Amino acid sequence: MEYGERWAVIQLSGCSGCPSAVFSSPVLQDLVYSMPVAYFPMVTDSQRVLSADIAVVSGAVCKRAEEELLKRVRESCSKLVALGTCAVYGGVVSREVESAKAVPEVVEVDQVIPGCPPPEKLVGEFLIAEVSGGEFRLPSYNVCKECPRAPLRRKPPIRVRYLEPPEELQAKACFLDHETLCLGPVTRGGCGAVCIELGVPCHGCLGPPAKSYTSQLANFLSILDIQLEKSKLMQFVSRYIRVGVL
Amino acid sequence: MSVRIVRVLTRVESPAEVVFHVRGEEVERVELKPMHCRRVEHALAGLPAEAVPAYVSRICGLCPIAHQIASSHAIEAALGLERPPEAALAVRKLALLAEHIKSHTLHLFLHALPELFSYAYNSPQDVFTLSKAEREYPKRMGALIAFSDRVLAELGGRGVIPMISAAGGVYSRLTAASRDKIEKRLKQAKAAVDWVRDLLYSRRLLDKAMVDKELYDLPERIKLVTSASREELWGEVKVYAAEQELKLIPAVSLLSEDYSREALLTGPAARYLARGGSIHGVMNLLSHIRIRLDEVKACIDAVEKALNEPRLYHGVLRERLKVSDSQEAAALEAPRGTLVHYYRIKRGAIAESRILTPTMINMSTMIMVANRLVELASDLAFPRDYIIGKTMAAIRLFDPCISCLYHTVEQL
Amino acid sequence: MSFFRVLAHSAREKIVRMLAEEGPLTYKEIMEKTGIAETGKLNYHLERLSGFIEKREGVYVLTDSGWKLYELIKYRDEILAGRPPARERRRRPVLSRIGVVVCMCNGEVSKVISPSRLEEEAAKLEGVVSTMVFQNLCSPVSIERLAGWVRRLFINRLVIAACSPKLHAGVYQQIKAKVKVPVEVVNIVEHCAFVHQPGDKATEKAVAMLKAAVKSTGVEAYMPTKVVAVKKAVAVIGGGVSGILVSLQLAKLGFKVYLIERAPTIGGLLARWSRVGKGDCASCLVSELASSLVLHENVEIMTNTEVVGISGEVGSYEIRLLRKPRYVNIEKCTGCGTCALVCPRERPSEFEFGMTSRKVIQIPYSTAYPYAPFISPEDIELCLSCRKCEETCPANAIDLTMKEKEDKISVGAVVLATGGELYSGPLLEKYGYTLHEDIITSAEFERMLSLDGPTRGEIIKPSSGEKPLSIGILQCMTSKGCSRYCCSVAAKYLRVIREKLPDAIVHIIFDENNIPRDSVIPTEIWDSVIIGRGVRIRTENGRIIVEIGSKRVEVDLLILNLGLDPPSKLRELHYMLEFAVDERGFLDPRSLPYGFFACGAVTGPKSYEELVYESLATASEVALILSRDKLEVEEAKVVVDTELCGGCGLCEAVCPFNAVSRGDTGVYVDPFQCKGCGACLPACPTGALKFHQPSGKILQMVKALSTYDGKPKILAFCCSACGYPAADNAGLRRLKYNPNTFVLEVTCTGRIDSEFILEALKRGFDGVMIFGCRLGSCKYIDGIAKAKSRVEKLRDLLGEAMGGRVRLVEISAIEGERFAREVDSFYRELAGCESGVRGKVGGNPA
Repeated sequence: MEYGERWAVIQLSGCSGCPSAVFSSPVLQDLVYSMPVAYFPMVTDSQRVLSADIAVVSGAVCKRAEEELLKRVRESCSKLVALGTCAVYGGVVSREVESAKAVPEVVEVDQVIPGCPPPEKLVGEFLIAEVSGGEFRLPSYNVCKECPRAPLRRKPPIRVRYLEPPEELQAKACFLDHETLCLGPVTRGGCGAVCIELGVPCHGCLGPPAKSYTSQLANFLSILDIQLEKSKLMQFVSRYIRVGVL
Repeated sequence: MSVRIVRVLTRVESPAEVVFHVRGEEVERVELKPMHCRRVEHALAGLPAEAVPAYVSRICGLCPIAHQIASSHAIEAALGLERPPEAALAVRKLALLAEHIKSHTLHLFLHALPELFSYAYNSPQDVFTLSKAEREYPKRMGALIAFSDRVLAELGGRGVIPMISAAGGVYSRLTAASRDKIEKRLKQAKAAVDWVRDLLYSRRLLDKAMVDKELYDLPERIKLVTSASREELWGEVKVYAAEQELKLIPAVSLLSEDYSREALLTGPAARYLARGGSIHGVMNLLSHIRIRLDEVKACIDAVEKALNEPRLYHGVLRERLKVSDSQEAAALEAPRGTLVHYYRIKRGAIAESRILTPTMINMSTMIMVANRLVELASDLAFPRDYIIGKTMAAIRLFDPCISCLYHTVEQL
Repeated sequence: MSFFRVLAHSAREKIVRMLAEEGPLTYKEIMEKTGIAETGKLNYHLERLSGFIEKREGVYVLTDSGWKLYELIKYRDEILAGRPPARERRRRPVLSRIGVVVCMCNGEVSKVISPSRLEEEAAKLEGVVSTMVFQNLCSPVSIERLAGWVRRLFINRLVIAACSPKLHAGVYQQIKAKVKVPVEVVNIVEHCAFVHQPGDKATEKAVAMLKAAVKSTGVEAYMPTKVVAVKKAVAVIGGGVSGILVSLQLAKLGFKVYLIERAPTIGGLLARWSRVGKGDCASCLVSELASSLVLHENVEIMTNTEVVGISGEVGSYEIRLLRKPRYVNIEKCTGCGTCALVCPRERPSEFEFGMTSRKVIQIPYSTAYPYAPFISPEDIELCLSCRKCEETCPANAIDLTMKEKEDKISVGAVVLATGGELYSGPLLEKYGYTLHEDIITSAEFERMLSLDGPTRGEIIKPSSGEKPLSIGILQCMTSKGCSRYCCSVAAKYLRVIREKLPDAIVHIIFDENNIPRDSVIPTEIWDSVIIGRGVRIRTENGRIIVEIGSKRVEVDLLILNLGLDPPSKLRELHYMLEFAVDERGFLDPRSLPYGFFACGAVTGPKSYEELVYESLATASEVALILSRDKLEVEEAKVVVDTELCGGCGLCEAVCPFNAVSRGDTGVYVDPFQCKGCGACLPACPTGALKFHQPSGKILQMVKALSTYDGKPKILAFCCSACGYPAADNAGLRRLKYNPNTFVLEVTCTGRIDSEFILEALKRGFDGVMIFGCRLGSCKYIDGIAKAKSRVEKLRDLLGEAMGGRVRLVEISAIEGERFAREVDSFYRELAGCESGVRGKVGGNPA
């Protein structure tokens, strides 16, 4: 049985984590092999995108050729989805290449699915929604909703001295209560707080749930008493998303 | 007059451009060019050492664990941790085995088998056409991915870019419940391997492709490089050559000028030699498909055995590292071959880094094989489009990882 | 007619759809659009639609039933299209019909701004159906006309460009009540016409402001109204003279009064005075008032009681009380005084300012009310080991096992009459209070003058008991500015001393270094006044020497005349209730929430007459509320949207009133504790807080205002309590500043999200200013500190890109001059030019 919509999957500058997330999703087994694919260089031999109903783009835009490809894709595809933090915000590629641009900075985007990698659950929900005509919406809450640790107790100014938790935290208190920086509050939920389960504070890879990243950071940092070197702090917060762009 | 025909290299980890210099019907030269931009070492400069393994995981989505572990090893060696905790070593080994399974599976089902099927059906094939023609195809791939993803998710939270290895140890140990979940998928995974073997032999897929065997021969003077040993996926770096005796070299010397000019091959073929195989068994690229499949089986067996290791379930997970100024390199076997990470650390942050990926090691051999192929094929008067197609097929059989190859592209 | 019969004909369905989607239509238009050429047919359909449509002012509109019918049609369409329809109720009306009104303020506006241009530009804006210009909107005739216009044209949102809603709140209230649609006010008078030179720029600015208001009216604000049943009771906190006066007045008006006093007796400070006003005996006065109070059945006097919590809303406040134990049962006590006689222990008498002593169990003075003894809780431990009074009491009224109890009362309004405190600061030591026994405070002197005091009214030297021959009164013992009553007190002392010691010499001494700027010295004491720069007090052979400048005077008795300080406990109250204090630290009654009032010394020092008037006026304000049976209250509170909330708790962390709590059911905002300051909204990362001034609305306004063509242009966020009124003040004083500055009101500077500043800079504003209350005076405790912190962080993150483009100014409501100055100086800085005199700058940007 074939479902009507034709897909194109485009990789710009990034790693192949996002397209391979598509293959890791358990939803795929039944669906993907029935969906007609117009362009997917990782997997088929089509040399160019002629037209498609949905184009899924991962990676950031670095070269002129990529920008032109993206514009062509926008013109020939009805719906364009930016998949992964590199596509949505620039991601790690924007740390490496000064002139890198996120996909929404170049063309209009119909749907974004951020994450580094994008959570398998969200990718699956998106695919099901597309195929069954339902509506897909990213969660609008922050990581704190899914966090297994205890809720924050301290009041501002909340002192922060570490980027890595100082010792094996047997007590499951909020990282911020242990003077460790965690970007969970200013990061969109949907990932299941996987990193936090493993004892690693959130680095914000899904991007902010609302407002711009810079404003979120300014609001958040203003209630913290950061006792870290500024360069270290900036490195931490700009891992996935550029800060301070006016 | 020479004209350039540019094709996108498809059915590899991520696309690259293959440039054919053509005069009339004759293909004179083949070049490989990147389509994207990355500058990983540039971003690593100044990063605190603890942040490196998570960062380098994002070099490639198909081999993140190899980068994670190699960088962890190098940093640990530089910062005075002689031997990581036992539990960490066990977890890392299990994870690397799972990654090998996943990577090879994707290569076989998405890249290599369609190539063989295109010979069988006499028309270009891909995973989508094959999923319709062979009902079992997606299910078998799914079983192997489900198995390897289960291991990765139990150890690192998710199947794609899991968080398993850190500088100083690992984040999580295996539990009895995790083990059960993994073992549940063991049977299907093994069955999938048998099914593929069946494809190759009972349906004689490999034989059908042998019609172009000569095109896929490797040059005789190549040297094979690996850091594998009979049992382990990391160890001393060995160089094999047909006439010369086996040489042991330090990992860091692979980064030097001497080796950048050599025609080297790393990957399953080289590991085959380390396990006692003969060099003559690997001199044709088509045989590498079979070798990869054998590796999948061997890795599944190794995972099954490793699940019994008590080290996985107890013990310290992570040690704190000292802040100091130092430098070190570490090598291990990524799915596609030997991977070397080198770091020079100053006051706890990266002053200099160099990453040598398997595809980079294979690069000159790949180009050599491609150009040799076009020469040979032209002599044999094959049509130009056929030559173009087979050249790309030959490159594919190296299982190149374009993201790893071009993780630093200087020109933008 | 049933819904379905109506829909049975496609023409009728079409008519309903048209009226919903295109607005009111005339008969002719309906005819054209439906294509029904015959009037007979059309009339038939229109008749069948009766109940669903009606004709008003010549056009057809849908009734409430008609709107329901429309919704039904849409619902059916969705189902037939195979799309499960959205469960939410569609918001009505479907169309935005905006009316724009411009008031010329009797020609004040048209002198500076072109009304025709305003009208023209307004008419072009999307959603505006009509515009109207008034010469003066505030007259009753104009308001009637306005209401009629709104009704006729079915306007459902009104934008009024006129004067400040803060200075003319009454008018806007009337307008809102008459038109019954949401109203947005654009201040083109105090913030534009009054402060700019006539010309294009002023008009352009007004146009931009109007555009911003029109464009942002669409943003859904959360401002629910509630109807509250008013409880006919009032809590008066503080049983001093002011509290008693208010209670008495309200009791006479028929309301239930709870008079709550922390001390064991009522009467406050004034009960310890000798005479008050023009010469009445203070304790008699207090007694008289207390007796009148007690006569009223509906007054409940609760002494030894403290307020520990307040919740609820105007009309229905709940006050939690702590009733501390008196250890004496007032009902049984006969006031015989036996207990005090047998009590073996003594303490210094607080009532007599320590000049005499009293027993542990005490009735502090002869006219105390309630006239029953009490024991202080800190003494009870010792009493339990003694128990003599308990055994001896003939009425068995003493119970040393009493415990403190919690209690609650429900009232419709609250009056704070918690009083002030006498000055007790470093000036006392400076002027020799500890140097000599005969240097006393005015409070001690009052006790001396009282007939029931320690000296039975005789003026004596405490050291020897002899009559003093010369008395000095040193004025202005205060650090908070003139206390307003000390000079009349000095005059009173002069009279009394002349009465009792006709031969004594009295010097009233002022130290020029100490005289508060705002003081007034009454003429009746001039003859006895000595003023000098620098007063030094010395003792020499046991005599008191006063050096005033170059003069030197010897006195037998020196009285330090104490001023009034704000109560030290006022800060504690700040966590239960929001209010602002003035520069001197006294409560500003205008800053209290609706339903709360304050009078007496807590609002500042005043003369006795002023106190009486203030208390009576307060009583009538309270009566205005309590006389109503129901009140409609707009809730300017924050509510959590649980779908967006991630439970991070950052809102809880920043709330200055501890109004947010987290529990199993999620995050909850206490509607009373929440004062509607909005400081939590910038802290919330997911936008999960609903507010009457949503962030979306502010961002829309920023976007719209940024279309103004001018360079440099400034956006000034101004807080409701200080910043915006300061801008109004500049307008009232006709001070001039550049026209490229736009005022955007926020509830509190703490509400300013970094996003607003970033957006403003991104959209082309060259500079952003933030005008807010000073830290000590902020109604919401520390709004400006929050704003400063966010700006600092933004600066850290943006670095060079932000540079000097954001400026914060702490200001008060009356500093219009400073507002204009700051705005112009920032403008000049941004423009890069040095010269420019206020008054001349403006009209023509560089």
